[in-house]
Amino acid sequence: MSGTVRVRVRSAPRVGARVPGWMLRAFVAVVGTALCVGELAQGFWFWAALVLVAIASVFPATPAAWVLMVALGSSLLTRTPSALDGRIYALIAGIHLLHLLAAYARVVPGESWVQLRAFAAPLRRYVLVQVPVQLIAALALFAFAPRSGAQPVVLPIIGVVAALALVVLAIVLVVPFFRQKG
Amino acid sequence: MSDVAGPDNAAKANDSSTPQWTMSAAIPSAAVVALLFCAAGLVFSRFDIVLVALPLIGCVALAWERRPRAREASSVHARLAEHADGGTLGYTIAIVPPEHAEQVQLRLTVLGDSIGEYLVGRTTAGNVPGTVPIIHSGPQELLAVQHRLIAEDAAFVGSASRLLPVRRTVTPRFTPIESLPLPPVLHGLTGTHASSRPGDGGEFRDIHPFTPGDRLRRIDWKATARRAGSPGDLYVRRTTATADATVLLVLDSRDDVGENVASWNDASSSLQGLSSMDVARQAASSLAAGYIRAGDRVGFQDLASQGRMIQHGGGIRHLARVLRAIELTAPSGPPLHRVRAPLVVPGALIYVLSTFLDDEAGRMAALWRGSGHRVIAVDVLPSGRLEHLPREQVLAHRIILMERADRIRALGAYGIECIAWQQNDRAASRAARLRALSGQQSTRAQVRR
Repeated sequence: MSGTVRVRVRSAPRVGARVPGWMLRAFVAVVGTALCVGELAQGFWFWAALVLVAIASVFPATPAAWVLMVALGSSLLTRTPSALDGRIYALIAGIHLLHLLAAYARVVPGESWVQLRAFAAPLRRYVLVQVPVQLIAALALFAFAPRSGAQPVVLPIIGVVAALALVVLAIVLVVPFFRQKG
Repeated sequence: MSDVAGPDNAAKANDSSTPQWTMSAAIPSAAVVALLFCAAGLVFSRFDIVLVALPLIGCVALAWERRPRAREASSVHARLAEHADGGTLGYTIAIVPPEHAEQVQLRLTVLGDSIGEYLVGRTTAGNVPGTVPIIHSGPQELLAVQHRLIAEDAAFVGSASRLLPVRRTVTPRFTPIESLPLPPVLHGLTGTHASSRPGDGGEFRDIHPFTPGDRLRRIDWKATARRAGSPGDLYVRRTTATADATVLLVLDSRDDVGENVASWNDASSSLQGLSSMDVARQAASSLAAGYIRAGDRVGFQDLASQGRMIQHGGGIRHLARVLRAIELTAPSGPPLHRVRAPLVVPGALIYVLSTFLDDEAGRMAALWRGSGHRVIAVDVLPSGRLEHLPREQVLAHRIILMERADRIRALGAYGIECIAWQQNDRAASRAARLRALSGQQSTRAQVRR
């Protein structure tokens, strides 16, 4: 063991259980790959998504993780929604987890150390967001998912309201960021 | 090899700053993805895609709602323990982050070498303990802390704080020397060494005819009975007077090279291993303690600076002053080139502690020797380790050492005695060499008498 390594080991702060920073990138890869395997059929988009997973893991500063989320979400268009299909619940939880991991991987260098207790607050917030979202998803899927032989529900007024809500949401979400950057 | 001084040496540093918060690109990215999902859900009449966007919308909304305020300050306190424990020194870092910060990213530098970054929770950041190995003596930056804050799932990142260095002076560990070489001329009327002139307090010198001024109790009646040629002839036993030696320690602090030769061009002190200044401080402290405890007078001079000089003196308080000057000596500023050797008390014994990697220290030693002083050159270059060195650098190192050997050989030709002050495993040979030098002095002094 060289002198520098000895000094590093002996001088490391005692912060309890910790993992190397590259574990965050590894988790991005694991979660991304698992979602790809679960959501995408073998084919061009599957391999393209895996490339995005690799880019998001190796170069976390790039927006590859969020492009991957778009690709994964788009996979829902290829199948009929069902309240009894567990994959959509996994996708909701997985995309949220992928967002958190990718956000942390952007700011934590791979060669640094991460105290496990540092993730207590993000984990608590993850659960606080996921519990109501999963409940809403289950209720909505039971209420609106098309059943076999039934006519699709057409709600033109709600569609117009939703479009207006989308515009308002876009303004609420995006405008503050541009204002802050300006 | 070193120990840490008492409570007055306790080191701590505090800093407070207001971080500039920056929003991470993760939040706009998540907002865009959420909007795309909502738009896709609307266009394709697929509410399930909107469901996937819900957690992202929640994340963005929470992050924006709980975004950190710009005026909240964070403070950091770093403190080193007062006493070393088994060659290490404890430290404590306490960071008080503002309300919204959830994690603190710490960057620690120990002995000039970055030991890594740590992401810790805000509770842990309030008390981060650790230890620093004590490798070197002298003034040094043992620890430096820098941090930045992270808030709301890494959605907001604070600017990096200023680097907070924690400095401390480490006292060299030393053992007072017992075999002390002496100068050719002893000064003063009191002391622990026997001088060549007659007086009180010393050892037997000779039998001499009684002269006016001699004390009656010094008459040696046996010698008188044996030698007296005529009535009235008296003989007295004369003893030598005692005197003290004047010693000047000249420390060459112009360079500080470690035993790891690969680190000679690297400022990181953790790579150096034992350095020449460590050896020099240990040698100078041992010599100063040995001479002053023997009742002699010791002065100190830094060859690299005209300001760092202590006039010769004796006593415990003077020893403390000299030891403090030695432990504070470190390379600083451009090297000083002297035209003339510094003035020294006539007849003083001069120790020149240097690596002798250039001519300057040897030139000064030769000038002092030329003016009649006894000069002892102390070689403080540690034995080099050549691991991880390419062949050409090994060759260059060998050439440098050959030039240095020539330089030391030339010092011998001037009549300057040399001693290598190496690591503790060679302490026995060093003690033997010092005993030999002490013996040479005794013989020389007897010849002069």
